[in-house]
Amino acid sequence: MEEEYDDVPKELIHLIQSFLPPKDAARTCVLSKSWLHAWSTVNTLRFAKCGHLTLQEQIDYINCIDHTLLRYLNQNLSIDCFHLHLHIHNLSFLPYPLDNWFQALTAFSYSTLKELSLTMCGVKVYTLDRGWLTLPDAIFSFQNLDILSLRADNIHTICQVRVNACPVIKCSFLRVLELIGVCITEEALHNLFSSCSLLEKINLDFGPSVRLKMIKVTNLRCLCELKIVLVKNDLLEMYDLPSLHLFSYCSVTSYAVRMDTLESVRELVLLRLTVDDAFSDMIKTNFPFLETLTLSIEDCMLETINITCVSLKRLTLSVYLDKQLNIQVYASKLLYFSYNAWKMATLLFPSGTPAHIHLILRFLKNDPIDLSFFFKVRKALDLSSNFHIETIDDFVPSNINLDDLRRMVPFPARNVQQLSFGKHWAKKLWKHSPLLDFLFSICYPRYVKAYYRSSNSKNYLYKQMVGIMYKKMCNLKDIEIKNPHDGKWESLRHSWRSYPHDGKWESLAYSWRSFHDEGNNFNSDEFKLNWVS
Amino acid sequence: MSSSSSSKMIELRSSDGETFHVEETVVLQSETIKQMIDDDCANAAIPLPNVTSMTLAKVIEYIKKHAEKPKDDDDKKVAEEDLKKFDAEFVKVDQESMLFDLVRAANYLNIKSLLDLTCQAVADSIKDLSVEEVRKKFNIQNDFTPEEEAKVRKENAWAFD
Repeated sequence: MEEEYDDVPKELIHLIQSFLPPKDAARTCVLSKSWLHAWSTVNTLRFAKCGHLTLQEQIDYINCIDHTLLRYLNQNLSIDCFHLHLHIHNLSFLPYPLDNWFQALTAFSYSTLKELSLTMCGVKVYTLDRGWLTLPDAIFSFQNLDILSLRADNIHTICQVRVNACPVIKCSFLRVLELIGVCITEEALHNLFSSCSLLEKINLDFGPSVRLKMIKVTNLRCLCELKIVLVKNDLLEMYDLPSLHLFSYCSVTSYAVRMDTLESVRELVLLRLTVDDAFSDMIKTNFPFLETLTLSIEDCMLETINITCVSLKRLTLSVYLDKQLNIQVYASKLLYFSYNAWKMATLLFPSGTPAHIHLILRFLKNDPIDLSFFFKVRKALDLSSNFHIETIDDFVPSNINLDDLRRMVPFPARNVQQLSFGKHWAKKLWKHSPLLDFLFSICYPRYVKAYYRSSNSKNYLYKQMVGIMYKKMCNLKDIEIKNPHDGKWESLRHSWRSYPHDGKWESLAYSWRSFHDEGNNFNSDEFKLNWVS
Repeated sequence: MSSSSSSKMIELRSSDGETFHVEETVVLQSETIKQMIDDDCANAAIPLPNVTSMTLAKVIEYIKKHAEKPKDDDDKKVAEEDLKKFDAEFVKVDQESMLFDLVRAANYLNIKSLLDLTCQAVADSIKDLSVEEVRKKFNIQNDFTPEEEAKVRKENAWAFD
């Protein structure tokens, strides 16, 4: 049965076009007359020309926006979504007629506009107006606006994008507010919060030039997600947020937040955190029903970090400190613990160990690893029944004697489900790295996986595994490799991928992929290790 | 199985006359049918003259899967992942025309999540294709004269470079 899609209603074509990137969406106009008609009345307007524009390109871009908005105004078309991307690099010479555009937009979409997104980025701005680009007040004037996103990326050092001190706010049904790198006064921000009492998500990230002494997020009954990045010693006050589910906070210096007990918060993210005496108490008293906690610690006044939370199920800890820490976790319901740090801390779970632990081992270039590092990792491996070990950075071997390590660790752990290698592993490191030998001295992982960054580092885990197999490690029975074609495991000895282990390239002819086939498309290799029980 | 005995069954009839029995709680995901039930028009089989039995079977598969409720919060994350996988597989249809049938059915039955899912799938398959390939794949008749088409291309030249 031949079917014609020309009977697809305009609204459906609009929807499909709105899911396409702007350029692909525009290209659909030439498919047929109905697609052209749909395109010329599309209710999602996105202007997203990016990159460094020549003067002529910039003039064309502005004209294109001008003409489109004028056409919508003249034809009395309305839109529900407006995205504008401005690449600012010569503002004084060619100012964007933002006021006119928003005036037109308010004229034809005052009540229909649901989503407004304005992204400004640029390299160099020379402005007469003391480096300020002031956004028109009209951005707050759409009465049924649902989502408002204002972003200024990478331009705050040269030019600052700001909103006026006291704009008239009519978008009282706003659900999502995002302000990234945009200057706003305390007054305007608090005015926005009190006018938009239905806000559900707030995402604020102020550049280093914005100094707000105090941010008060209060009396937002529907707010369920709050993400804030602050700089310097700004204070944050949070009261009357009964629906808050996720709270994410990033601050460079010490913790400065005043709040109620946030009983509704299930997920807490604290970035660039300074751990001090008050930290443990805050977790215990202010977040009594927390389930997921993510901490990225940049400074710590204490020797021992104590995390006590009875409801906690998932804990992700990143420590960017060149300091030996003790970490004590009192969380009897903990299921998952992830630890990512430069130094292997002493981990303690006095009230019960989590079912699954993910260890991310990092190797600092200037800090060669010694025996005690591996010894500590081995000790940590007694904490859970299911481990996933991951290494991200390049490993720089120092003078560690493998036999010494084996003497220190007589019983390698058998509870490591997976050992994986991140993409940073380059060819030269793979070639001579003894890391696998060290790791196999402390644990017998079930699976080993490598993600390759570039084609010239591909195959290297494979090469190492073959090396290990032919070294005849006493406890290793067999290594299997996953065939990416059918997902089946095959013994490395009789693998579809051959390797000239004895100098002869005997089986190469039968292989669909040979070792020298560097141009292969596989970005990872996965092995299953069968250890003597 | 869930307590199907307590849930009322609704009868749906496709354009080619086949009938389907679906639990009321499941079928309420369709705003169109919900409206009919609210208006008390769902006592007999509901005729869906715009939806073939093949498409309707797919739609029912989708709403049944999306009606499953996780037992607790732990289950929720697993269920979300599971649903994502299901959605990704669901739109992998053999024939492109099926995808468009689903778009139309989702629109007619007013199931927002299915409409978004299928339109996204159409968009994903259009992306990176040439104009000719899209026409062929989705059987779109080019009703422009060569002159008209050249003019449209010229007016939107930025999208074609």
